[in-house]
Amino acid sequence: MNTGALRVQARWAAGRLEPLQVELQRPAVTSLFQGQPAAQVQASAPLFYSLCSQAQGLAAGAALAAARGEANWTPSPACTRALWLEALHEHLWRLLLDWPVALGLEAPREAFAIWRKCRQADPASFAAATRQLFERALGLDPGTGQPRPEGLAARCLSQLQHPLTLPAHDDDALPDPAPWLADDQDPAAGMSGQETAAADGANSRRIATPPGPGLAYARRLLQALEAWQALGTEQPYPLRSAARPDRRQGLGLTRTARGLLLHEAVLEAGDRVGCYRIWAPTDRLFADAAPLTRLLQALAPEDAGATRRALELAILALDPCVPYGIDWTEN
Amino acid sequence: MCLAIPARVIELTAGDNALVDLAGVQKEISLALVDDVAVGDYVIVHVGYALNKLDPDEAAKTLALFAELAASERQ
Repeated sequence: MNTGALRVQARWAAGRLEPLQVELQRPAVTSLFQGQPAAQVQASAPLFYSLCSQAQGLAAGAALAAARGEANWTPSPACTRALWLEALHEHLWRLLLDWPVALGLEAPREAFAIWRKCRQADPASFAAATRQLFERALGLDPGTGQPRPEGLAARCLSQLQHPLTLPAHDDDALPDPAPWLADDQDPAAGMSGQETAAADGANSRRIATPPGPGLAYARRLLQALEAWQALGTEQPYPLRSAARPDRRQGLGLTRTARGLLLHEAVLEAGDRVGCYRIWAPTDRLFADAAPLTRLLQALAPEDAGATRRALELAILALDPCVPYGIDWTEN
Repeated sequence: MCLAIPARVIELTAGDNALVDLAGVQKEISLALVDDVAVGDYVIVHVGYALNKLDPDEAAKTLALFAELAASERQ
């Protein structure tokens, strides 16, 4: 069966990179939801996904509740904790395993594996294990949250030519999804603009340059710290919904470790699903070559070797959630 | 949205690795991130690592969903 894959074709010829070709294959999971009872869809939606199953369940729950006209649907405290934990796990995977390997540094696999095994421990033990991972494996100062000069995070930032001082916080406020209920709005296009460039406005259809590798890594650090803090303070997980009661249409918008995730549900008689759509970050960023091309142009590599290296880092910065490969040719 | 297809462990191999059957394809993965995995268990795999072990009922339920998805894609 089609399990999903991303191929990027790049050809260097006559001293320059020819237009990139991006092919994203995704299985049509939502086709199974058509005609199913809403409760069944809500229960089964998270089962299809490995890395973001909690977020998928949240977005599905919010979209279906909105479509049913339930205004104040919220996840349980246990779900909220699982959501923050899922996000923290994803951020730490990228920071500790993926980026160091991509930059030729040693990945602290054992430390990460030990931390994973503490996720079901009592809160105090888990907090201590997480603090130790941030301090020792990533090399963050526990008091300030800033990278220590010789730590892994600092070395990654340095190689990515990003300042070692991180901003105070990451701006992760969710936009209002209500405008995407309108007939003439394409939610995916609207999210692309909002997600990749706040300056473009919440519903812009223009895709600006996504964050480069250095900024992507720095934001990941901030988001990991914020997820850890949220776990300790029992903050609500980011969620917004919108509804159009006359059409029994609902939207559920949340944030995964990779970006915004939107579910749309339209219900028919008997609370059965008439239409269901999901827009995930990978769909948005790899629907075509535009985001990757703009990011590569911003990095301005000078020769074939530098361009191939920049392409690898740019894909990691955009962070597809499916296996990917680069078909690179030089003439 | 990496798919959570349960992979059945066929053989435990050297270096904390295992051979698994993932949707009919055999591949070697690392078990470094999970404990107590035995032949016949089902695991969720991501970029060459087993992410977590599934209980048999949950694996059967999820495999049935993916079988339905595969059938719908063939139509």
